[in-house]
Amino acid sequence: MHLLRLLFATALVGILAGPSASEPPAPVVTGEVVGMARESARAWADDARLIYVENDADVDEQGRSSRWGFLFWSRQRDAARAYSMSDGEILLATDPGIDLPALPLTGDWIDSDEILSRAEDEGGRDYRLEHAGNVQSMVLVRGIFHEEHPERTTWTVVYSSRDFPSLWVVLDATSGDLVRRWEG
Amino acid sequence: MRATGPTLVLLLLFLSTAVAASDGDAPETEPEMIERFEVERRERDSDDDELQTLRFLRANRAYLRAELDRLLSERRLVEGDARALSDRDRALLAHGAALAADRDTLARAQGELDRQELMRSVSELVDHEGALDEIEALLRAQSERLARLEADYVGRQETAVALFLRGPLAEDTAEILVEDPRGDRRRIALDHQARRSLREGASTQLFHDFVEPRPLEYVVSRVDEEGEIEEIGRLSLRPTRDRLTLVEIDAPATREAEAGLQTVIWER
Repeated sequence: MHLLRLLFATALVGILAGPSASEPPAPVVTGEVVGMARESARAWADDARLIYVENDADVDEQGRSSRWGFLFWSRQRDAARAYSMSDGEILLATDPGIDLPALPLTGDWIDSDEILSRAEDEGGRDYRLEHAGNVQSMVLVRGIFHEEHPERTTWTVVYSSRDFPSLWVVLDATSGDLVRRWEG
Repeated sequence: MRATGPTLVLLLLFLSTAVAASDGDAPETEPEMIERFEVERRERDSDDDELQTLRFLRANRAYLRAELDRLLSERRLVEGDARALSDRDRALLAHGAALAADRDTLARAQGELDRQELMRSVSELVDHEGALDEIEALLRAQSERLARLEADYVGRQETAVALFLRGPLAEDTAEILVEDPRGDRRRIALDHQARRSLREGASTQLFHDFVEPRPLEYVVSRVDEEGEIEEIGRLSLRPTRDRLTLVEIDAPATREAEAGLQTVIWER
């Protein structure tokens, strides 16, 4: 009878899990998945600090993506850990082999939907319409793109087009103000 | 609605428990049932595009790292915890600043004292140095004089003076007296031969002796038979070192001259 129960449970897993695996995760903003990513990182290292966020899948017009990548750094371990998160699920946990000694992100950053809206207002929308472009990447990091105040966290929205140089829009992640913008 | 992982686990638990409860063949003494769950774990290849993460970071790793390094080298980004200063903290900071100021003041005052002490020492040194210079000059002069004297007295001395007197003198001249500046007197008694030479206008030797090669002065006098002394004249000469200086006093010429001994001096 034990064997019967085991077979039944396994079959149930197969029935319920099979169709779900083929459906793409629902797009979410970063705030919906960052909590689980932090918990996972703390299970890996007590002093894990979030230093980088990026969309792992395409971003829609509302600034949501089905997967977001989170990079953590632990000083104790002297190592980094990357998590690719979908809605409520860890799709990937890996040692990324990346050495990026960035400072931890400040905790009050604007979420991806609102920041994309601001990027659109700062030239992103015009770029998309004029050059048939789209949002390639949304990157949240501290200390790289803000030359005047490298201590501040920034969102960088990169628009790309097949026939035109990319548009980079850097926004202050706390205030949403435009920091700089360039094509290249 | 797609079932999520935790929900799926709970469902399995429920169903497995339900199956166990409905099993009427299970004996009361059957061992405790162990729930089993299928957990799928896949080892992903890093090149798997479906689940690759941080693509932008990987693609621009060099650029991002370079930017970060540049900013970190230009500005020192220091991470730390900030908190408001308490009153105690402010008081301690103020005390610290006051201590530092006092320490600097003390150091300056000490430096000024040291400088004044040094200047005073330097002035004293200069005075001492001057006195030492004078003493040294005196010692040098004395040393040179001693060396000359030593050479004069220890070395081979051949400085000599021979003194002659040419007459005529008064008939009753019994002695010639020669006195040097030290007060030493030479009494030269004129014997019969000497008296006759002088009477006839010839010369007679008064003395022939070694002398110091320095300025010499003699007082030449005649002593008559009664012992009366009459100065003939004063002789000043500077004999040449290591030479014989011959001096002939011309008594008649001296008498006719208004002042001073009349002499003839030659050297050998």
